[in-house]
Amino acid sequence: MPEPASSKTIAFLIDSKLKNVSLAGVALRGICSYLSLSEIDTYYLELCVVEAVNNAIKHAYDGEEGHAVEVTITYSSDEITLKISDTGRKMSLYSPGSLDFNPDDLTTLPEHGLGLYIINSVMDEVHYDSEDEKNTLTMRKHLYKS
Amino acid sequence: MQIEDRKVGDILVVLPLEKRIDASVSTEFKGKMVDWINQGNRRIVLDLSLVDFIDSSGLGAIVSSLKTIGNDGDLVVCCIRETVMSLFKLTRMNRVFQIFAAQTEAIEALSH
Repeated sequence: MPEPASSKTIAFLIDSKLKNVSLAGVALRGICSYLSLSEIDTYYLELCVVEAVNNAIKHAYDGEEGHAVEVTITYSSDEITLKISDTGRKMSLYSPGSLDFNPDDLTTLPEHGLGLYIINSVMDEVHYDSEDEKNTLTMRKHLYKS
Repeated sequence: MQIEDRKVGDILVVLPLEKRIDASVSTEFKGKMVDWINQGNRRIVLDLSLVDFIDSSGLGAIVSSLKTIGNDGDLVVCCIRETVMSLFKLTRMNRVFQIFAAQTEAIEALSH
């Protein structure tokens, strides 16, 4: 029997500027590379971190700079957990998002709201909670190495 | 955001020179696309050969450009990387946009 995989954690803060969000993505890419994940899995996980941090900046902080977004990445050989926390306005209703459109009808195509749909499609578990004025979106994915 | 644009006949070829089309540049990108469309460019090839990351905001800006053109023209995509293509597939946008492997193929398709 193999020994249980031990997990490792990295946490960092970024200031609430959209220009900073790519740094969170780059950090995640580094971890995905270390875990030998495929290019597509890496892209999907980076998307989820970027979408969640974008949401925190745009919605929790109304796009205002000078606030902290906390990113915590915990990984083991078979699972990765991403936690994105803010201390801004909490989401009144966490909706997983939907993708209901007719590809042949331009008027039905979505221009907004795809972020949560992407997160819920990619990750195996997603939940959002608020405690002590801190909002956290937790996303977990089981890893299947290429 | 740096974007190269050139005309091939009456087709506008748009080549973003950035690696990322994300929330930090999507408003500017959409603004440039809408300007080009409002200047009369109704057939546009979007060459994504240099782009290795698009998020939902960037994708929304591309969709918005297509909607701005409406049914009187077209916006097609070419040279899309496998990773970015995975976003199009995840969001079913591969069923909305015509996607070509090469820029010449995209221009040829819009020429008819």
